[in-house]
Parts: sequence; C-alpha cells; structure tokens
Amino acid sequence: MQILFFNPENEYDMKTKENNKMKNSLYLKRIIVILLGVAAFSQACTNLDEELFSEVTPANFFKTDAEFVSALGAAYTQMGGYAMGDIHHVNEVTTDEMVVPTRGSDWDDGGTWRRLHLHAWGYEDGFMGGPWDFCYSGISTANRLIYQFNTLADEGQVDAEVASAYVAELVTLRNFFYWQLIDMYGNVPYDNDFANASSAPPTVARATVYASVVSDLETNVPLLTQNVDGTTYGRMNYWAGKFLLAKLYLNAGVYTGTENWDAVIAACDEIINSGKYSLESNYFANFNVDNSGSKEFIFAIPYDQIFFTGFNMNMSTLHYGSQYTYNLTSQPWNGFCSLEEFYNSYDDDDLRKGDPGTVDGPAARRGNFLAGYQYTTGGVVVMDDGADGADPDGKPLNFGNIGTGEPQINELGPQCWRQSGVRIGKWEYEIGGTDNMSNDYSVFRYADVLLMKAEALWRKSGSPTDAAALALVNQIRARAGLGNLGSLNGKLCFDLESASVAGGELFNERGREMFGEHYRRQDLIRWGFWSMNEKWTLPHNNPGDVVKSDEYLSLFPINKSKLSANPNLDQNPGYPAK
Amino acid sequence: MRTFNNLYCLFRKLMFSLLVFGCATSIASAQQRTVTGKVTSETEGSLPGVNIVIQGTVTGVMTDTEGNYSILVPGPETVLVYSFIGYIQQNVTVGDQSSIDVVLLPSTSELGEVVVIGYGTQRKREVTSSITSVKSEEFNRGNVMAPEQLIQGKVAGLSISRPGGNPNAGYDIRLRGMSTIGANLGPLVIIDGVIGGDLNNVDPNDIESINVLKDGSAAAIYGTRGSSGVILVQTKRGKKGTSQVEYNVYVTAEMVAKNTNVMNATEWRALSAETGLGTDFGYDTDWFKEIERTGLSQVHNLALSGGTDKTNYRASINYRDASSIMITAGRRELNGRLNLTQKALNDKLTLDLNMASTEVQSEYGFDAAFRYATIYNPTAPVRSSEAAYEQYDGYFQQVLFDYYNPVALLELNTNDGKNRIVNLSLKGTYEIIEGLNVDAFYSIQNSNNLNGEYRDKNDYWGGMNRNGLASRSANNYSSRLFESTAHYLGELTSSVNINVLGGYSYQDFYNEGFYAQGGDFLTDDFTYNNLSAALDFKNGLGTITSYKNSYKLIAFFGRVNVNINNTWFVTASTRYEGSSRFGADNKWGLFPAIGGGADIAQFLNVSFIDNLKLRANYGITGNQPSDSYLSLLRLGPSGNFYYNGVFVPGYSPVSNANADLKWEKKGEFDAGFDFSLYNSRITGSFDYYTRTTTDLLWQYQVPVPPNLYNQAWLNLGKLKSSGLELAITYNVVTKPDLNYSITFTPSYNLDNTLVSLSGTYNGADLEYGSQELADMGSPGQNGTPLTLVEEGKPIGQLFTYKFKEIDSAGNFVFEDTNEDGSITAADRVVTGNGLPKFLFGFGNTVIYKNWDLNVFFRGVLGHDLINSFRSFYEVPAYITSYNLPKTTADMRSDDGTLLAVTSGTLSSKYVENADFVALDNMALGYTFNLPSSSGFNKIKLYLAGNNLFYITGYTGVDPTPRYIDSDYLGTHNSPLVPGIDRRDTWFRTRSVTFGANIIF
Repeated sequence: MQILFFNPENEYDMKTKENNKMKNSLYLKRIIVILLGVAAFSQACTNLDEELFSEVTPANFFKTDAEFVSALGAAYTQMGGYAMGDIHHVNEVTTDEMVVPTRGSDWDDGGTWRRLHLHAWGYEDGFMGGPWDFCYSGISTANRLIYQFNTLADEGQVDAEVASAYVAELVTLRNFFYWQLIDMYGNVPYDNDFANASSAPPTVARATVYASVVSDLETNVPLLTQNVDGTTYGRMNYWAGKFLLAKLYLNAGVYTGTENWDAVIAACDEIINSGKYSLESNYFANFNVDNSGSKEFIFAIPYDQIFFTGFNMNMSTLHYGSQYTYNLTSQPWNGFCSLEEFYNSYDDDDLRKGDPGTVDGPAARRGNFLAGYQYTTGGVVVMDDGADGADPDGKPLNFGNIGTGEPQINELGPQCWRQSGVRIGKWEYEIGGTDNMSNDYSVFRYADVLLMKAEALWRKSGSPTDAAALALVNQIRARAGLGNLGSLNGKLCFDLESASVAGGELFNERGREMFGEHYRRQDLIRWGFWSMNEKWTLPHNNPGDVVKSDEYLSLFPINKSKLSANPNLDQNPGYPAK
Repeated sequence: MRTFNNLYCLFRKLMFSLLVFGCATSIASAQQRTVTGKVTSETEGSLPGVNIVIQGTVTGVMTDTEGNYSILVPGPETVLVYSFIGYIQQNVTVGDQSSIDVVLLPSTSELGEVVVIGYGTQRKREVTSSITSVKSEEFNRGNVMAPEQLIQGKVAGLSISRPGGNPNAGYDIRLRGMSTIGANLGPLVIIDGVIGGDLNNVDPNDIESINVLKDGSAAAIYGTRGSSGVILVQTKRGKKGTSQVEYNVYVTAEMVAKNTNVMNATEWRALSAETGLGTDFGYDTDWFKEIERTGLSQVHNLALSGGTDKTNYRASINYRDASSIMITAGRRELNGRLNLTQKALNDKLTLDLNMASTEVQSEYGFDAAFRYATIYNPTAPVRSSEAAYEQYDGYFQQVLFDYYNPVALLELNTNDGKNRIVNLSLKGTYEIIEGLNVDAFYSIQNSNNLNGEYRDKNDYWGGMNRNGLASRSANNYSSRLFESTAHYLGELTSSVNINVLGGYSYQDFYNEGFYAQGGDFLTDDFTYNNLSAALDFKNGLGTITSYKNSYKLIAFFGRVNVNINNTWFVTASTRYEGSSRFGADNKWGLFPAIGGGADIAQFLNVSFIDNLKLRANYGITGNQPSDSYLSLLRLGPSGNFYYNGVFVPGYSPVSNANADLKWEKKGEFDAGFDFSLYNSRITGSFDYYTRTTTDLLWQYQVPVPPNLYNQAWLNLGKLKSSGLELAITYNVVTKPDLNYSITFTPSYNLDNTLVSLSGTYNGADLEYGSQELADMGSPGQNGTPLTLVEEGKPIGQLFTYKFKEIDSAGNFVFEDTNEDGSITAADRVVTGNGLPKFLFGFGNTVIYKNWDLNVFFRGVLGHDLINSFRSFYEVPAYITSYNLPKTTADMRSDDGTLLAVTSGTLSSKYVENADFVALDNMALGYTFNLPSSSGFNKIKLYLAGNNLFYITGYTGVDPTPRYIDSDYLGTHNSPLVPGIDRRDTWFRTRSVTFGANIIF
C-alpha cells in the first residue's frame, strides 16, 4: 500500500474519517437521545438546598415554652463575662484594691497590666474595648429578644401579657448594661430600635443617657415580679430593679451634676422594708462555693463549674504551686494580688481579713486575702522550685513574704518576685476545683443597700455622727466582729500620713466590705479620690514610672477600633480623637 | 529532571538503534526493492499508524494495526523517517536490508509529551496553559513517605513544606503564593479522576505521574475548587503485552539534623553561678538525647502487573513501618491498590476499575516535648527516687509555669490513632462512533479516623490533676462522585482538528463524628479504652460532642480544543457549577477560560530552535466557603440559664443569614512560552502570571444590631499576586555511556498584595484598614501582636520594634522610628515578611555506564521567621527557671558583664532571615547487567540521602516557611500570619536510605 503523504501528526486513517462522515448522520439521533437523557437526569439532580443535621434554624424554633425560656436565657448568659472579664479588670486593677504585677516574664504582656494600674492606658489598649463590647453585646441581645417577643405577640403567637413580662425584665437588664456604660465611658450611643438600627449610632451625652435609663426603669421596674424565689434567682426582679435605680441615683452627681440623695434613700428603704433580704450572719456565706440563695443576694450570677462557666479567680490569683493547696485540675496563673495599704486597712481582728499562714501552720481563719505560708492538702508547706534568688525565705511558698521581716506585698514590676503580693481569697476555692468556679457572684448585695443608704443619709445631713447612718455602718461592722464607729470621718486607708477626711471611715468601710465586687473605681470617683492614685500605686520596683492622675482619666477612652468602625462616635476629652 | 531509570532504558534502546543503523550502512545495494518490518515501542508493543516516509520526498506509508509495514525504496542510500506522535523520530538508512524493525522511543521533547489535564489528556504541543507534568522517573528518591515529597522542588511555583520531621504531619502546599485567605488554601487533588482525592490513600510507589495545573485557564474546568491550583495524580497501570513483578524495598535511618541551641549542664552552671540564680540539681542531662532516637523505617512495595489486548491490570501492596526521631512516635501503613482495565463489545466498551485501601496506625507522640526538652534544666535528673517524686511515678518535676519533664510527658502518656481510607471507582467508556466517546464514572471515598489519648494519673502535665484523663475521637468522611462526559475528537477540515468535551458532575460529601473526653479514673490500666470508668461523666466534667454536616456540588462543563495546522491552538472551557454552601441567591457560578498558543518555530526558521510555542490565556476559577451552612441563620446553645433552681440551655443566633454568600472569584492571566533547542538538548518553559481574587471570603465582625450575630462570612475583599516561573532542562553531556543533565526550576513572586478587606454589609461600612494579628503568648508576651495586616500591602508583614541595643541596665532600646522622642507602640514597623519570594529546584543527573547519580538542591529565599524560642528565653535572668539559648551567655556589655535583661520582648532582633538552600535529595544507584536467562528484567540498588544539609543563616531548628501559624494556644490559626516559628515545631531531620528495585 503506497499512499500520499499526509500530516504525520494526524491520528486517523483517511478511510475511517470518510466512514465517520457517513456514519455521523446515522449516529446523530442516538447522540441527541443520550444527551437528552443526561439533561433530564441532571435536572433531577440540581437541588442545592442544604441539609442540616446537628444545627437548628429559626424555622423550627420558638415552638414550646421551654424554647422561649431558653431564648430569654441568652440575655443572661451574657453575664458570664462579668466576674473576671475586662470589665472586672478595668474596675479593680485601676484601684487600690488590686494589681497584676509582672513576675519575671509572666504577666508582662507588653506592659498592659502596669499601664492599667498606673492610669497610663492608651485608647488602643485592648482592655478599653472589652467592657464596651461586653455591654453592647448584652444590650443588643436584650433588644433582639424584646423585638422577637414583641413581634411574636403582635402576630398572636404568644400571649401579650406573657410577652410583656419578659419585655419588662429585658428592659431592666438592658439598663444594667447602660448604667455600666455611662459609669465607665460617660457619653455613649443610645439606640434601642432593633428592627431599624443605625449602623453608626451617634454618641449621646452622659446626662441624657442617664435620664433615659432612669425613666425607662421607673416605667418598667413596677411591672417586674416582687417574688424572691427560685424562679427569680439570677434574674432581674422588682428588687434588683430598685437596687439598680439606687445605684444610678447614688452616682447621679457624677453622671449629671445633680445629686439625688432622697431617691437613694427611698429606693433603699423600699428594699429594706420589704423584709425580703437580710445580712447573712457569716460574711463568707456570700462567697462560699455553695452560696446559692444567700439572703443577701439581690442579683447574682449563678456561676457553675459545669453549667455556667467564666469565674476563674482561683486561676487568676493563685501561684503555680497553689495547685497543691487546692488540688486544682489546672495549674493557676500567678497573677492578681492586693496592695499593702489595702490589706493593712483591715484590722487584724476583722473577720473579713483572715490570718496569714505561718511557718507553724496554715491560716487559722479564712479571709478576703491569702497571705503568708501556703500549705498542701497534706499539710506541708508548698515548695516553689522557681523561687527567685533574692527571695528572703527561698522556696517555701509565702505570699507577700509575711513573717520574714521583709514583707513584699506591693509589687508592680517588671521582675517582681513570683511569690510577692497577698492574694485574693474572698471566694472559697474548692478543693479539687477546675478552672471554672462554682461560687455564685454577687452583683447586687443587701450589705451594699445598707452602705448606700448610710452614705446618702450622711451626705444629706453632712454630719459625721449621723446616728442613722452610723447604725447602718455598724451593722456591717458588727458582722465583721468589729466595734462600732463613733464617727464617719477618718484618714483614708491608702493615705494614713494625711489628715482625717470627711466620711473617710465610711469610705474605708465600703472598701473592706465590697472588696473585689467591681465598686471600688466608682466609689473612688464619687468620693473624689480617684486622682489620688499616686498614693496607692507605690511602684516599688520601678520608681521611674509615671502615675497619671488627670481628671479626664475618670472616663475610659473609646477604643481606637470602635472609633474607626463608627464615624459618629465622639472620643472622651483628653484622649486622641482618631 | 529525567532520572536514571528511564534514561537507562532509553540508552539501551539507542544502542539497539545504532546497531541497526550500523548494520544498515555496512551493506550496500543499488536496487529498488521492498523493505518490510515492524514498528514497536517498549511500553505499548506494536505501534499502528506510524508514518514511514522516504526522506526528501512526500512518499510514505503507515503501519497497519499490527505495526507492520511495507515500503518500496529506491536504493540503499534511502533514508526512512519513522515518526509517530509522542515518540522520537528515527531516521534509518536502508542499506541492503530487506527487513527493518524499529523500536520507537517515547519523545524526550516536552512538546511531544502527552499531559494529563482536567477530564482528559492533551498533547503538550497543544496545551495553551501552564501545566507541569512530573513523571515517575523524575520523582524524588530516598526516604519518601508521602506523595507530596515526590515532587517537592520539581514544579516551578509550587511550594511543598512541612517544618520538622513529624511523620504524622501533613504538608502545606501552596501554588503561586496566596489566592485566598478564608477558603481552601491547598490545591484540589484529583486521583485517577476522583475529585478531592486523599493523598494518604496513594502509595508513592504506585504513582505514574503528577500533573500540576497551575493557571486559571487550566483549572477553570474544576470551577469552584480550582483557585488554589489542581494536582492530578495518575497511578500506574498494567501495560499491554507485558507481565511483570516489581519489588521495591528500602530501609531508612532518620536522625535529628538540628536541635535548638541551648546550654549544656556545664554552660548552665557557669551562667547560674555568674547570676546567682537557678537551682543546680547536680545532674548532667541532655534532654534531647532523652527524647530522641534514630528513627528506623522499612518500606516494601510489591506490584504485579500485566496486560493483554483486552485486559490489563496492576495490583500492588505497600507496607511502611516508620519510627520517628521522637521516642514514642511512629507510623505503620498498609496499602493495597488494584487497577483493572477491560475491553468488551468489540473493544467499543472500556471498563476501568480502581480500588485502593489504606490503613495507617499512628503514634503521634506529643509535640510539646520538644519545647520542654529545650527549656528543661540540664542539671535536673530525669528520674528521682526521692519520696516527693513518687506522685510523678518517679519522674523528676519542678513546679513552674508551663514547664514539664519531657520524658515523663512522652513515656507516661499515650496518643495514637488509626486511619482507614477506602476508595472504589468504576468508569465505563463507550465509543459510539470512532472519535466520539461517552463515559460514566462513579466513585466513593470513605475515610475513618479513630484516635485515642490518655494522660496518666502521674502525669504532671495534664493527667495528674484530672486523676487520669482519656479522650477518644472518631470521624467518618465520605464522598460520592458521579460524572458523565461525552468526548469528540475529530477534524473540521483537513487542517483543523477539534477536540470537544461536555459533561455533568454530581458530588456529595458527609462528615460526621464523635468526641469524648473525661477524667478521674481508679486505675491507669484502661487508658482510653473504657471511658465509662471515668467519674467525670458522672459528675458532669466530661465532654462529649458529636456532629454531622454535608454539602454537595453539581456542575455542567464543556471544553473545545482547536488545532489549526498543528501551529495554532485555541482552548476554551467553562464550568457552570453550584454548591450547596452558597447563599440562596447565589447558588450557581460560571467559570470560563480561554487560551491560545502558536508554535512559531517554523516561521522563525532559526536552525537551533526545534520548537517555540507562545501561549497566553485567561481563566476564572472559584473557591467555595470552607464550611457548610455559613449562609444560614442558625441557632445554637449559648451557655445555660439558671431557671427555677435548675440550669436550662440558652439558645441564640450563632450566625447571620447571608443569601448573597458566594464563591471567591479568581481571574488569572498567564502568558509564557515552551521551547526546545538544539535537538532537544535544551528544553523548558517560562511563565508570567498575574491573578486577582475578588469577593474574598472572610469572617467579619459585624455590628449588632442590625445583625443578629456579631460575625458573618462575607465576600468583600480583594487579593492580587503575580510572578515569574522558569523550568529548564539542559542535557549537558549526551555520550553513549555518559550522560549529564541539569534542571533548574526557579520561580519568583513579584507581588502578593492584600488589596482590600473592606466593604459594605447590611448598611454598615466594614473598614478593615490595618489590623495587628497573632499573639506571642505566655509567658509574658500576651498582647504582643506579630503581624500587620494592612490593605494595599503585602501579606505576611512581620511587625515589631526595631532593635537598637540593650543598654547597660539591661533594658531593650528600640529605635524611635517616628521620631517623637519616646518609644511607644507607634514605633513598631515592618521588620520582615513571612512569605518566601524566590523558590528553586536545581537537579543534576549523571549516568555513567551502570551507575547513576542524582543530586537535587532546593532553595527557598526571601522569607523571615520570628524565632520565638529566642524571643522568649534569651534572657539571662530566666536561668532562675529555665534552660536558655547558648547565645544568652554572650549578652554582655563592653566590659564583659552580663546584661541584666529581665524579660523577653519581641523586636527585630528575633526576626531572622530564613533563606535556605538544602541538599534535598541525593541518590546513587547501580543497575546490574542481567543475562536474559536470569529471569530478572532489572535489579537496581541505591543509596540515598534526604535533607543532607541546609545552608542558612537562620538560627532556629528549621528555616522552612511557616504558612499557617501553629500557635500552641490554638487561637490564631490563619494564613494571614505566616512566618512564626513556634516552640512546638518538631526538629529538623536528615535521613539515609538503602534500597533495591527488582523487576522480574
């Protein structure tokens, strides 16, 4: 076979190609049939809806009562971040109650903890954004649920009365967050329209927000249940609403420039006279692991190591070796401690102070502080292999080196001794506990009602020996095993060198009683002592540190990222605007 | 890139041809006569359709179906030219032979090769996009445990990396830099047509070729999954007319190549004495020695293959037993594969059956052991008989933050798992008429994982305080794929050939699993095998989760290739694809591509240019969201609510509805040329690409209200990258018994820019601007971001203070870069970049007689790493607690006193250039001459080394780029923060392998 040359890269024989052409038409029908078949099959198989197995969409929710309650629950689960979140740090570490020293390298974290204590924060510090997010997240959850419940009621899907009770409760909770916001940031956006919310709500003046919050509460609190039982524990009932109003009135002078002591007294009286609450005979009944249902709790967060997590003071304050004291399931972080002046502001007899552990044995009495030698559950002193070379008693774990003659209580760092500082011991640390504590956390407590009323009475009368005020304070003192005060005046606990200050002793007492419960910053500001912070920071290890004490620092800055996200926000005075 | 195996065969054939040629010329005749013969190839047997042309004329014949031919030649001086697609053209002078049998050799010219593309094959000559094909002969040798290693460094623009020598860790594969930040980062893997195939189910020994579709035009046929590139893996199949057994075996010894550079006990004591800090426990412990060993591995691969006209098969079984450098970690693997092809119905129907199954048993060890071995006090003993240590089962422990005896950690605890993967696929192809085929393909993939971990009751690291802690996890992943295509190959006119493809694809995926963790055991004896014995489940502290999710993809696709005169080539394709993961309003996307090429060698008429093909193309590919259900408003448990004395679950939104959610869209332009010079002495290709990804998928913080939840997956951002790639092979010496060739595959990334991450959603402007990401972490460097992600700037910017000096007081002094007189956070600047700019592979192959030698270097340059070990521990005062880098003792002022540095602070001091060139692979082989009576076809022995040395200035253990942050705190995993060398990295290894390859 000899044929003409053809393209050497052609794959087909010419004959076959000719055959192809002839056959093509014959096969065309067959091809069309097949393609049509494929197309028909394909149409059946073009459904791209998603199939869900382990998640829920709203289409199949809100069908039962239990689902309603669980939806409401979302508003309260927000509170999990209250006890030890950034909102705790900015209200405690900025005061004479707490400090987070830099221990070796630990807790250096770019100096952010030192800046917090020295009032040297900047508007880019993460701590300044956390509380803002915490509060607005709580507000938007409440508003979302209000919107959803109202919508369901309008559509007739739920009973309007049922819905309105939930709504009043959510409004009260929402205003708790607004109160926190005006307390920390002053001027903040106030926008509760969920359906048509602005994406960039503008800043509203502090006094204006205050007025809205108070009027909102005055309308809604009367709608709340006055029951105090299992169904209201951990929720906003009538009395929690009254307490919230009392706090707002108490600080009205700060928030608006106009004081309103009578309103404080009236709100407190209503709570006191209801007889629903009373002081526990033992102060620590409020802070034990098993403190649920304390007669003092008006509003508490029901933390639980399993069901409601987020309270981890044990991790935050205890030394690594304290793991052996409490058989904790995790190694603690060796952070937060109290300051020397604050520790010493308690009488040694004060039941709230407690004893230090000594070389002869662990502390005999529990207190707000853990000081001195620490023992294992087996009764031997905890040894700290990583003890700093200069530590006066070396390896034995001794918080603050109490009893060595060289107490190291105040430390800020950098390079503090790892054992320095008395630790926060107010809440009972469960033996065998996890990094989530089961102690409920008191937000509104009856003892504070007494102290608020005492303060309002004293401010109103101006008399340091106001009998009614003294009687209330002495109720608190008696429980702490202390004698009666004769005068509300006294030297400030962190400034014993100076003269007696009007109401000084009342202020000190507030600190001793309410230690660690998020009120110190607010109290310092209301009493006008906030700018005296150079008196309590006492940075032993870094005398060069600058302590800022300008008035503007009584409001926190709007975090840089918030400003860039919302052009309608105004920065607080004294801070960079952008 | 050609290696010895093939070259050896090639040489044998060349010798044979020369012999034929020699015979032909030695006998002269002057008569016109008929010459007959048979044309065969080594691999395919007889070759039908081979053109045989008398040189200088247009007279010629073709071989028949049996490969036979017959041609009338004018005289003995006649030269016959044998040519066939994909084979080297041979010229034979007739002489006085009447019978000339010719064996054609597969073409060495890249342009003649057939490459695998999406849904088919194509002659390299016709390809208009950037595709790199690596054949088995060119694969890396030696201690190869995963398919990825076979082509590491071989493909310009493809980065394959795994820091450290963890045998159970995967590889990060990146093609042409980054094309996404929030969706799938690695290329789509297709194994014998199975889309989304699992490379763990392919033994490296069974792979015939790996083809990488690099540009958008080549990958567009894979639509929503093509954006990060496509890797096509073809496994070996039986060949017609053969029957053979192949046995590969090797043993490997793997050693630690580099430990962290910390002090020994003597050095530690000296610094301790000088500072007066730290506790000397009186021992001399090399903690690395305690947790490391030489890892020995053995690998066996037995393959049976053969074929007839109707059937061919290949069955293989692979066994791998690898012990690692960590005393308690290793991996055993058993894999089987069967590939079967059968023809029926007068050869019109072809059935392909593939089955593969793998079982892997892994002992994972604990990565943290490397960190603790680095910082553990070298004067401390491993064990102690003192009573205080009984609670730790006799292991020494010290009570410090994040500090645990690494030997106790490894020896007391268990961490292992089993992984079973099964893949079945069946394909039927029916030839309706010549040139027109339809096929149907069905495959299932199933992967099961079962892991268990137990921390001992005496394990201070985590088990002790939980009184024993066990966890178990199980996961099942399955996928079904159905595809059908119609394919027509034919000619429109005598000079225009077309190749048309159309098809439909359906694929679904299910992923479901279970996890339980609980502690508090009476005894350690159960380890993780009896979770009901954990009291944690009774007291509520146990953790249990289960999950199931699914998604599916449906597509229609088509492609047309046009070949005009074998000179001009056009390819156009499109895929119309929908994913269930897209939002309700955007379920379907269109992914078109077009490309053209021209072989201009014939117009240039330059003698040394064999081929020069210019090509350019543009293609759009997609990337779908990384998870299902992201477009739906979902409710989830949001903690619990205390209600009437009990806790009830709270439910709230965990996502926002986004009906617009769609695919990321990458448009890529690629232009380049392929060339062959001096009769294929020099071949190669060059590419320029530029790509833009829009509608970037990313999870945004969104305001609440108006949104129900504070995060949403949105398509807002834009990325851009461009680069150059070259691949060149030069056959330096091509003598009969000496051959030397080099290959060089450099790639350069010109640009990798995050153009924007901002946009508008639900009425709100989401301005990204710049953000600082990642965190140095504990101890002491929480809140220390490492990376600046900035719109308009390159990805991977490492962001630190600029180090100036350490002053005499031991304070770090940084540069006041903004000259405002004080050092603040505003003085931090970009001091490095974590992504490499320049990658290359450099291969050398020498074949001398029966010997072959392969030396392969790999270079990665232009990237920096943050050396976190140094940043944390290069602090003299920390000798109180830790062992420290040797360099710490050199931190002195001019008068020799040790600087009183008291805390680690990140600065440019610890941002190190991590350029490296590694001798990745070196192999020396010897192939025995075997008499045909021996029954053996081939016996080859070889000695190979992997990662033999690294040339680098980086002081950490491994200069390999870190594409993803493996932060042990587990909170910052993101491709936006490359370049951080964390402390849990396994140390770098080198290995030596001795192996044999036997065929009979």
